[in-house]
This record gives sequence, C-alpha cells and structure tokens, in this order.
Amino acid sequence: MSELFDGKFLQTIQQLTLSAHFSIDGSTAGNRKSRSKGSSVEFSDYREYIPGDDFRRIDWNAYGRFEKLFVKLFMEEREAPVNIFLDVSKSMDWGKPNKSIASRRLAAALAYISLTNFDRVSMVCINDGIQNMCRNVRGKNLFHRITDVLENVCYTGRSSIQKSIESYCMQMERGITIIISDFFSQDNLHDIIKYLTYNKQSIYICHILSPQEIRPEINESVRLVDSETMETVEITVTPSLLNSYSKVLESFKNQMERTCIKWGAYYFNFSSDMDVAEMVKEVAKH
Amino acid sequence: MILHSPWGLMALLAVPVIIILYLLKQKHEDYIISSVYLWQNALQDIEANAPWQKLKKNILMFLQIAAVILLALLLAEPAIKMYNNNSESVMLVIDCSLSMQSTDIKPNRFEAAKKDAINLVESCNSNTKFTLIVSGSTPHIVLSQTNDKDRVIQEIQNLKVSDTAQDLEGTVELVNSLLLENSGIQINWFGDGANPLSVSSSDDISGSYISSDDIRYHLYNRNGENYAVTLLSQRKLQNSQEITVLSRIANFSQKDAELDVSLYTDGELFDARRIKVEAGKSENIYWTKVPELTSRLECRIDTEDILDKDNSAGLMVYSNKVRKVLLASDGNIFLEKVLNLMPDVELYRTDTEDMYELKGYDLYIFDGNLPEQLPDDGHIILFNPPQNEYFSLAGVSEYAEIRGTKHKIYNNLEDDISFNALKTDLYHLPQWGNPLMENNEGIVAFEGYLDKNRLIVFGFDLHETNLPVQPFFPVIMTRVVQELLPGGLNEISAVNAGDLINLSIDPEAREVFVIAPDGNKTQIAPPFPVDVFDGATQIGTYVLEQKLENETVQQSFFVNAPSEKEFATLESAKSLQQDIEKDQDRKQLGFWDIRIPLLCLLLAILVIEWWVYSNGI
Repeated sequence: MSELFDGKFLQTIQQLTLSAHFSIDGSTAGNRKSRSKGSSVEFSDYREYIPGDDFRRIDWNAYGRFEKLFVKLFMEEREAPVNIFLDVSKSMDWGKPNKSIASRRLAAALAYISLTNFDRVSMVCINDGIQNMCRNVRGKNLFHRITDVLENVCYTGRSSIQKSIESYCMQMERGITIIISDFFSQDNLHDIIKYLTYNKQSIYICHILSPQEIRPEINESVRLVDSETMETVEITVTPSLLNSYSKVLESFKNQMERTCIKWGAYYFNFSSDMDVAEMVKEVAKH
Repeated sequence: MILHSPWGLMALLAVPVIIILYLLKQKHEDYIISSVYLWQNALQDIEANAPWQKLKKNILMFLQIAAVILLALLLAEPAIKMYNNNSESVMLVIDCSLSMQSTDIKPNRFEAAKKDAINLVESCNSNTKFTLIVSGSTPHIVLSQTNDKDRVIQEIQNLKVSDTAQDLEGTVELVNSLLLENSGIQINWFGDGANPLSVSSSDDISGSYISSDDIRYHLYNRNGENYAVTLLSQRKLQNSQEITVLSRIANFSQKDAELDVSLYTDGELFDARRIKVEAGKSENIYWTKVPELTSRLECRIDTEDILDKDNSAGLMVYSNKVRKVLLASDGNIFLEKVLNLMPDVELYRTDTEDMYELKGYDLYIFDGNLPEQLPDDGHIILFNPPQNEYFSLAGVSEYAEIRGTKHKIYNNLEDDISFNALKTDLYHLPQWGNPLMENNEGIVAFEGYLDKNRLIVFGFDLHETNLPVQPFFPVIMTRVVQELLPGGLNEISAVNAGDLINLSIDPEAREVFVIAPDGNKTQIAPPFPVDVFDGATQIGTYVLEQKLENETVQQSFFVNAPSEKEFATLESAKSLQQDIEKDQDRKQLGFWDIRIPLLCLLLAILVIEWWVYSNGI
C-alpha cells in the first residue's frame, strides 16, 4: 500500500460510481446502457418489423392490438473503453498541495470506478509524448496495474497533449476519454477535442491547478522561471499585476469551458487542494 | 541663505543616479513556477522586456531623492542670514593690500571680502555700532562707533584695494588702541592670511587686547599659484661696456613651478629664460651682456597666476653722469680711497685753508672743518665738525662703541653695524635730523635737510675709529654718497609700493613734482626741505620732475610690487585655513547655521523610508 493510494483513498473511491452518458458499441457485455438496441433485458423502444430482423423479438401482443409487426428494442449492456490521459509534464509537479498527487488520485479514482463498472480502462501518462501506459485493464482485480503505472510516473518534459493523444493508437470505437492536466501548453484544446470527437469519444476535461496558480502568493520582484521551458519573466508584483493575472486566468478557464461546451465535452475545474471524492462526484454528475 | 562650501552641491549628482536606478529594471531573484504562460499574458506592459521601465510613483524614490538633496545641502554648509546679532559693537577690519587683488576668489579677494562685510553689516541690529578699519600700508580708521548702517555700507563699497603691502603690526596696534577704549567689541577681520593673533602674541610691547574669542577671521585665500619678481638690480663693472642684471623670481605657491621669464631693455625683449622654482623658494637669474646704454630694465614672468601685478619689476638705469665731489680735508686716505672707488664720482681735494671757492660741486665733504658759510649748491657731509650754529654739541664720549641706528642706508646689511671710537662728539638731534649712529650715551651721527641742503654729520674723526677697517665701511660710505648726490635715485629704483621715499632733490630746484603712473601730478615742494614721499602707492613708473632755475629735470623711477613682504606674511594662511576657517568662519556673525535642523530632517526621512520599506507601502 503506497502513500499515494492508501486504504482510506481506496475506501473512498469504492463508494463512488462513475456514470457515462454516451452510446458505445462493443462486443463484450459491460455495465453501461447503450443506445444500441439489442438483446438486453431492459426495454428501450419499439419499431416496425423490417425483413431481416430477428423474428423472435416481435412483440406479438402489440401485433394483436395494432395488427402490425413491431420489434421490441432493449438497451444493451456492454463495457465502455475508458481512456485516461494523465499529464505528467514538469508543470504538473508543482504547487502545494502538489498537482501531481491530486491528479494521480483523481486518475486512479476514475479508473477504479470504471473498472468496478466493468469498463475497460487504459491509463496513459503523457508529456511531450506517451511516457507510460497500461491498456485495456478489465476488472478491479487488475486495478493494481493502474496504480503501478501511476506510482512510477516521472514528472518531466514539456506538455504536448495533442501530439501525445494522436500518438496513442486509439481504437475507433465509442468510449470515454478523460484528460487530466493543467493545460499549460501550446496545444489548442479545440483541436484536441475535435480529434477525440472524431474518434467517437465522450470527453471529460479535468483542468487541475494548484492554489498558488489560482491565487499567486508572490509579494516581491522576482524572475519567474518556467519549470518546463526554463523561460523567464521578470515581474514586480503589484496589485494591478495580480489583478491582471486573475483576469487572464479567468479568461483561460472560460475559453476552455466554452470550447468544451461547443463540442459536447465536459469541463471540470479543480484545485489541487480539493478532496478527490469531491472531484469524482463532480465528474460523476455527468 | 548662503553656502559656505558650494562644492557640496556636487552630491546632487546622485539624484539622477537614483532616478536611473529606478528606471532600470531590478535584478530579480529566480522563482520557479509551473508555467509562465499566464504571467506572460498578464504582463500587458509593452515595456516589460525593455531595459527601462516606466518611472512609477514610488514613494521610496521620492524619499531617497529628498534625502540626497538634504545631504547635498548639508555638505554645502548652509547658513541663513539672521538678524539676531546681539553684539552692540562690531569692528570691521578689511585688508586692502596688494595680495587681496588675487583672483583665486572671483572677482578677487577684496571684492569678496567687501561683499561679505556688507552682508554682515546688513545682518546686524539697527543699534549696533560699527568701526571700520582699513588695513593697508598705513592702517587707518574710516568710521568709528557709528550705527548708521547705510553709511557703513557706503564706505565699504567705496573702499579701494591698494598695491601696497599690509602693515599688520600697525593695524594690530590700531585695533588694540580701540579695544583699550571700548571693550566688548567683536572684531571681524577680513583678510587673506595675515594672522593678527600671531602679531598680538609676539609683540608684548604693544599690549594685546585681541583675543581669539573676540575675533572672527574671514579668510579669503585658496592658496592659488602666485609667482613674483621680488628683486631687480643692475650693476655695471668699471671699464666695462655691459650691464649685469640680477632678477629674483619667487614662487609663493605650494607647488613647484616652471616659469618663463623675460627681460626687456627699453621696452624691447632682450632675453627669455625658463627656470624651475621650488614651492616657497626663489631663484636668481643673472642676465649678462645687457648694453650699457640701456636706460630702462623690466623683468616679467610670462606664466599666468592669480596676481598679475607682481609678475614684473622695473628698474631705471641712469646714465653715467659724472658727479663732482669736493673733499676738504687735511688728508684722509680712507675717504679718498673710498671715493675713488665709486663710479661716476670725480673727486676734487682741497685743504681746509683753501676753502674759498665753494661752488659748482654736487657734494661737499668737510673732514674736521667747516666753512664760514655752507655751500648752497650741493649736499654736505661733515666729519668731526667744530662747534657751529647749525646743530649743538651734547658732549664727548671716549672709548665708545658706536652702532648704526635703524636707517635705510643699512638696509640688507648685517644686523651688527658697530665699531669702536677713541673719541667722538655727541649731538643734540636737531629738529630736522634723523639719527644715523649712536652709542650708549647719545647720538653720534645724524642726517637731514638743512633748508635745501641735505647734511650728514659724523661726530668722529675716521682716524680715531676702526670704522675704516670694517668690511661694511665702503658699503656705508657708498650709500651715504649715493644718498646725497642730486638725482641719486639708485635706491628709489628698487622701491616697493607703499614704501616711504627720501627723494634726493637738487638743491637748486625751485619746484618739485611727482607724476604717478595714472598721470596724477603732485607737487611735493616747496616747502623745502622736501618731506618723505609717501605717495608711491601704485605699481608702475613714477616721474620726479624738478624745475630748476633754467631747466626742468625729469627722472623716472619704478615702484614695484611689495610681494616679498606681502606674501611672506601670508605663510600663516595654511595654518589659518585649518584653524580659523573650520572653526571661526562658521561662526560668522549674522548667519544661522542650519546644518543641525537639516540633519534632523534627514534622519527623519531615513526613518520614514525604513518604515515605508518595512511595511511594503
């Protein structure tokens, strides 16, 4: 049992359930409702019989009432592929509490919940490429594979989300993609979401920032050094500068949210000092 | 407000430096953050990456500028003119001697002193009584115990600086005499280094009433570079066609100097030399092969300094007019030898019994005898004269040690002019006479004008003294003869401004005038005998004009700068500058030293700055 994923954490996530609001096609039965009507037990709808349909699904009672052949449609229960992209660039290893801890716990929690819901989870750690991953984990018994990956993450390099996602051989099937990052990158979120949508993904953007990024605690004249690029910016902190920073941050978040709404993605804004349960519940609402 | 040390304002140069430092971006400490992405966007200031930033209204900067301005003011030693002078009586002593014309203080020391003196008068109470003394070659009181400030200021404005040397001792005596009458006078001495306290302490006879507590010395001396020609003399050797000229160049500054010196003969450049003169020392230059027909010599220093007037000295060279001298003696080998050695003297001898044709000589020497009637066309020297109507005998002294008095014929000779006499007459000094030699019992020799004739009387027979074997005998005799020969201006040629001159007047002169360098013509005779001439106060060429019966004789003489005397007294300026300038000059009457309040203000600003800084305002 590691410090990152202690017993209390696991106990917390076991109580959480993640629900997906999208349709998926798949060959293995899972625990999610699909719009693909089929041979499941849960009734979904009727439609007129057309030649080629399984005549066993004809509702004869309806034929008796309407003298027309109707076929019963059922929600098919099947597994959803859940791809969790966790940003492990250098910028994520910063803040108090550290974003790396909060983000990994969130990733682990989402993965665990997915596994318990019989989903197929792929955990992908990305920076300027794919650093580490484990694909298609099924069943919570294999949750340790997820945690192994997360515990062995090395926070380094720059963040290039789009490039990393594109390099991931995404299967052309409906699924869920969760991106956990601070999104301090040159990538265009619009392009990322567009790409994932094309790949039939239901997208969850988890934007995680540290409290120091939300409310800077710098009181003097300093030279800011970018942890990823080592780029520097000299500032003399004044109330007007802090005000300007807040506006820029707000604009940054609003822009991301608008982009997500536009493309049907879900945007969640978290602070690294939030409890992971709160984060998961926030995600689970959708 | 006045500034005692305006150079302190140089500290104001720090103000632009502070502003520049605030314009320059500070060197920041590194602070690693996750990403500068948001900060880059937040920094809207387009000058963010330029080396300069906008000058912000930073209270620290304004406080620092204020502190620097106060510091500059402090260094400049400011004082505010105050009308709080409670002294009832103020004495102003203003040095108006040659050295005060020095331009190391603009426009010159004298004008600066006058300005400060006027400021001082203005700052005093209306009931303050002022005494104004001018300290020149002849110190005198201009105003005494007056409370008319306007008049005092007017008199100060009217003061003129002179070319003469300062009579420091005379001034101190004058001040002392006034202090004796009125105690509690505050003395304000405006000078360039001649220290009245040094005179007071050394001269017990005058009785000193000046104390360092009463005196405020206002020093006007920045020890600028001054060079001077302190001596110019010429000599023509017998049977020579040339003149040898000696000039002495003094360096009164505190640095060694290399000077260009030129000699002009009758206005034409004769020769030029470059000499090195050590600080505080002087160097002699011998100029040889000067043509004997030269009548006017002038030596000039071509290197610029703070006082131009003493950079040249002149000398008139008189033609070798032969003077006829009659020696009436029964035989005096000593006098004959001495007179024969003198150039330009044609000696005639006669016995005491043949003194019937006493006319036509420039000088008559009677040795042990006296004619019934003194000749009236020449001056006279008497040795051991019999009793007569012109002066009275006081007695006889035997085995006497005779010594010279303080007389100008002994100038530049050794101090101990003394010899022994087997017997000598003693005289009552006549009203017209000046003592020349004396012993413990009385006057042995004297000189003076008897009507138009100048008379020198020695009460001894040369044969009964050891004077002829003394080394100074020929010198004294030569000077005595030169003194008496009509127009014998060799002595006057070396006169300094302010010196008293015994002009040697031709006995046949009816009227005598002196024409000053500025063209002013002054009649000095009649009445005869001519008084000592005290009008040689300007540097330049004077003309002595004597109207004889049939002709007018003009003779020129140079009046040179009294640099040696004047600047020698300023030696004490260095110590004065340290002692008085630091202490007393700051305690000038009428000025409130505001350095203490400024210092308090500066400290307050520094405290505010510290508070602002520590509170991050």
